[in-house]
Amino acid sequence: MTGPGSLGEPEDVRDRPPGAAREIARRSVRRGKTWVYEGILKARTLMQLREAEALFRAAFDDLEGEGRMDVTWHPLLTAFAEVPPKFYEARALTADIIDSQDTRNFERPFVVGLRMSDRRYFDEESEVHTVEVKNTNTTYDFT
Amino acid sequence: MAITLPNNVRGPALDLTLPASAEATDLTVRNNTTGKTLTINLPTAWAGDDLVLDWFRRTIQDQTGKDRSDLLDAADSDLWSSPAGFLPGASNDLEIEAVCAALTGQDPFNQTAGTLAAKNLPLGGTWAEAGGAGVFSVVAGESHCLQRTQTNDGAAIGRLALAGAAEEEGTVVAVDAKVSTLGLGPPYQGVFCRYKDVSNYVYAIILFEESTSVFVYKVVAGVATKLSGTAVGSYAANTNHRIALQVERSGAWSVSFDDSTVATGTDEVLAAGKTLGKGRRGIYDQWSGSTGKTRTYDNFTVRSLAPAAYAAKAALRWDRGYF
Repeated sequence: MTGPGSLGEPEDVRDRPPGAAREIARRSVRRGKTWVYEGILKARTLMQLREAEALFRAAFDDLEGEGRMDVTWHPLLTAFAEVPPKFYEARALTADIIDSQDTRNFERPFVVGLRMSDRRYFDEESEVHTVEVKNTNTTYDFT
Repeated sequence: MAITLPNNVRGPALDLTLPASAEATDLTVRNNTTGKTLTINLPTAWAGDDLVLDWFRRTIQDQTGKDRSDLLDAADSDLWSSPAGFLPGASNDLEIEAVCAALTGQDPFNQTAGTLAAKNLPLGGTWAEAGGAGVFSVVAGESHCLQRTQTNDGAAIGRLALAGAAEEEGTVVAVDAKVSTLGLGPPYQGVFCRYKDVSNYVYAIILFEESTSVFVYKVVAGVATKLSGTAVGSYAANTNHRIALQVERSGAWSVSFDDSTVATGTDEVLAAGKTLGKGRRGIYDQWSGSTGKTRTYDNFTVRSLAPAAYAAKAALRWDRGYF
């Protein structure tokens, strides 16, 4: 799985002055980032496998916006129970299932390629500051 | 309370849970650290929709996802539009206020013709008068308005029409005014509030002449002091123009002409508890010249800025980002 350990892709802007054996590095930024997942779809029967494949493709079909991927620790890892889940938002550019029956089991390897427009991932709402406005024409501070 | 936004936040977002309201309400969020503010103008008959202001997605939406960026006050939106509205990695002193000017006095002057004193406002009590000679009179018929025709008012004071006995701290008082002819000097036509007696009040007036002006004066112990004077343009005679004077409990005041603010200021004597911190309100008229000029008034309104029960909630949140 590539992605979480990678920096955002650079937009490296440089000028090449004619006649000089050098470049001039200009202000550049890192843009988005690609996450790639590999996995295996497993089912008990062929019909269940086909149904799972259809659901898989439907889940990654939308290109209009960016979907949200929540990343949480496995519940058996109790040492991380207090660690808040992370999430990121991305658009699925590829979701491929390799349709090859190589074993007796009904399983298919898949690859999902997700493109993040914002290279960061996030804690959700780690802090919330609230205030009750009980009267008009009165100023209230956020707490 | 100062809120520290960490570096690298996504957002923030402000969730507003708003009650239904018959009166128009302005919701203002202030960041006292950056000096940036924004105001959401909730119209009359607000149904109680909730709003989310999302600084990351740059959207203002209601609970159905409908765009409600039309509610953002274009003249007060720095906190929304300015990149420096919030300081990341530093404390931000945030506060919120719902400003609602509830109607407490109103008179379109549909009463029977005659002297104004002792006539009742449809809302706000009974009219009384004070000051110089020459009364206000209700004019019936098609015009249904209030007029005063007295000439040669003393230089120190005109005639004050007091709208009810209520004394208010925060007030917005307004009236439509016009004059029958221009030239040979302008009469003083407008509104007053924080009235204690004929020697203590604050008033805002229109001077209708070839170049019309709006002035604000305070009168303390009989001494009149000009707070502002602003030219507002040239207008023909016999055309209504609206003047509104707003004075808040803090001592801040503002005057508007035809719904456009022309001057603002703050005066300690107007703060709650001070000399002119509270008082009655009404219509001011003064004409010191000898030429006959009919001054006409209509659509008098008073709105109170006193605190009233409201039930809104606001929650500021953000996502903490990691690379």
